[in-house]
Amino acid sequence: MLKDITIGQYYPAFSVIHAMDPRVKFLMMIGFIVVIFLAWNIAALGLVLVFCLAVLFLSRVPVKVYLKSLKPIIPIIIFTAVLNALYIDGEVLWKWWIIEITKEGLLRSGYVALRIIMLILITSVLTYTTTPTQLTDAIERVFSPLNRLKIDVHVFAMIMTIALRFIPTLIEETEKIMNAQKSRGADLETGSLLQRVRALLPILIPLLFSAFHRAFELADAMECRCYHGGKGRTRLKQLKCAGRDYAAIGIFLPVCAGIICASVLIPIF
Amino acid sequence: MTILETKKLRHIYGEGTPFEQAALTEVDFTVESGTVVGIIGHSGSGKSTLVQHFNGLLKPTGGEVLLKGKSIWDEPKKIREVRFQVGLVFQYPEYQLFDETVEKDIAFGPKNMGLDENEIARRVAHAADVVGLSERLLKRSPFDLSGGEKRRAALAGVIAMESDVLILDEPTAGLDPRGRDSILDRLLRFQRESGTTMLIVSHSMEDMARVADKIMVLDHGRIALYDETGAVFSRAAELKALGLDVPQITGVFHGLRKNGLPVEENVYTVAKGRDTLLPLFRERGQGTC
Ligand SMILES: Nc1ncnc2c1ncn2[C@@H]1O[C@H](COP(=O)(O)OP(=O)(O)OP(=O)(O)O)[C@@H](O)[C@H]1O
Ligand SMILES: [Mg+2]
Repeated sequence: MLKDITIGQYYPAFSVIHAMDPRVKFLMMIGFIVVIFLAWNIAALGLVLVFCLAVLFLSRVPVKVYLKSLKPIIPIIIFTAVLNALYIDGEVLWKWWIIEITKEGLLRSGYVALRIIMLILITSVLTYTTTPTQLTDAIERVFSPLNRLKIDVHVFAMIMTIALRFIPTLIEETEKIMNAQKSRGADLETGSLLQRVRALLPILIPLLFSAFHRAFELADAMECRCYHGGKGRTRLKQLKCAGRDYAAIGIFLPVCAGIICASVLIPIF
Repeated sequence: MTILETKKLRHIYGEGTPFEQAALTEVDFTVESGTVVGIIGHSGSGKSTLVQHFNGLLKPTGGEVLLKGKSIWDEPKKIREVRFQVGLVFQYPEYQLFDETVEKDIAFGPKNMGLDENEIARRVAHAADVVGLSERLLKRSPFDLSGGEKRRAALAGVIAMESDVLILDEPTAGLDPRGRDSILDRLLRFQRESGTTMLIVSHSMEDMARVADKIMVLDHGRIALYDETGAVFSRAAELKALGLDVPQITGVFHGLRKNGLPVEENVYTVAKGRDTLLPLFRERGQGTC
């Protein structure tokens, strides 16, 4: 069903990772993504893997949930792995017609697959352990230097917060409308393409109507509370770095350095 | 004859996620053809979840739903047929309106059933008449109607399908008292004329007392009581324990009895109350009063 689409897929649990400052988590994730791309050999990738698994373990989110986040990208992983396996020259292991599989190609495709998996896992850690509001808050803070360039970071963050806040509401509403129209015999599953598009109208029209309705109501409500953008606005929830955040940074930086060193110092493969 | 039946019906929302929530546990329920069954229960007791099983919008986690003795999920491809036989009006159904005019919107259901033009026109006119929508309103855009008129239009959209079973989830919620009475009266008259089996979910004991032949009380996803309306309302203490109540007039009569007046206990509509009190007044009027 529609509900299975999870955006802002916070997974409630009590763990160190959940409790960390979202800004630190966000920056660490960006840093780690860069590092993943710098890891070019088994030693470096091994370190990446170990670090990743450690973070996954600490987050107290079940492995099953992480596996579910990997599911949609399996085709991409297979596709890139196969391409890499076929197009890298080197010591030929197996040959049929014009298809050649080389040792280097196999290794490379293994690396690529591992790297994509790590990327997805580490971003999932962030989204599973951070609520959408925390996340936008963190993004607003991290990008606040852009204010100097006359970019109103607050407005973008507010738009993002509202969008994230209303995605579940809209999904729920879509489902409600779909159910109501299905009860009246709407057929969404069969028919030609044109028929199916037409069948969507009874759902889209009420949905748009109510979305606009909501938008106006929300705007009114915000104005009634004297919302006027980011200037001079204070926060209910102050972000504060605590001991665990410094500890996390203290572990994270040497790990990154280690991965980069391993990648540079040990020859490829 | 039993038209609708559930056997050990269970439903769990979000099974296997941290948000897992059991909404129905072991519901065994039968509805006789042509009767009006009221479903009551506190908020979150599973009423809406239950009724959405009857037309196959929700699939049971366990157990089954039988319509005319046949499990509705026997042939999942034919679930639309089930929806034509079991009409369902949702809680606050106004959002389902979408077409250019009210008339066309009401015709949406019958059109999906593949009926011919004449039959559709007849059904639309009949449904509009049942809920009391005037000719003038039928030509208007549904988005320009008042809240109460939208409710009527949404009800008409399902009534027009002329299903064997009609399920109404809080049809009168949020309406003014007169609108509420008028819609209920019209629905009841329609039910008597057509013999449609009707299931009504409501929080209003007064409404239930007026329309229901039998009442089913849900509590935390289980059936707490299921009996004739009078029998259910005679168990005031139990209802109160479940966070519900008897109709106000029934409360009054219980009070009168407690104070020694020889009145009947099972009075649950104002009309019946009047009929029991008036003779008493006349009797006593000669002497004491
Ligand atoms: N889509 C859903 N996802 C998860 N849980 C749900 C969903 N819909 C209902 N529930 C839960 O199932 C339980 C029963 O809900 P239901 O809507 O059937 O109650 P109800 O008796 O109709 O209440 P009300 O009188 O407020 O309409 C509630 O605890 C509710 O939180
Ligand atoms: Mg409900």
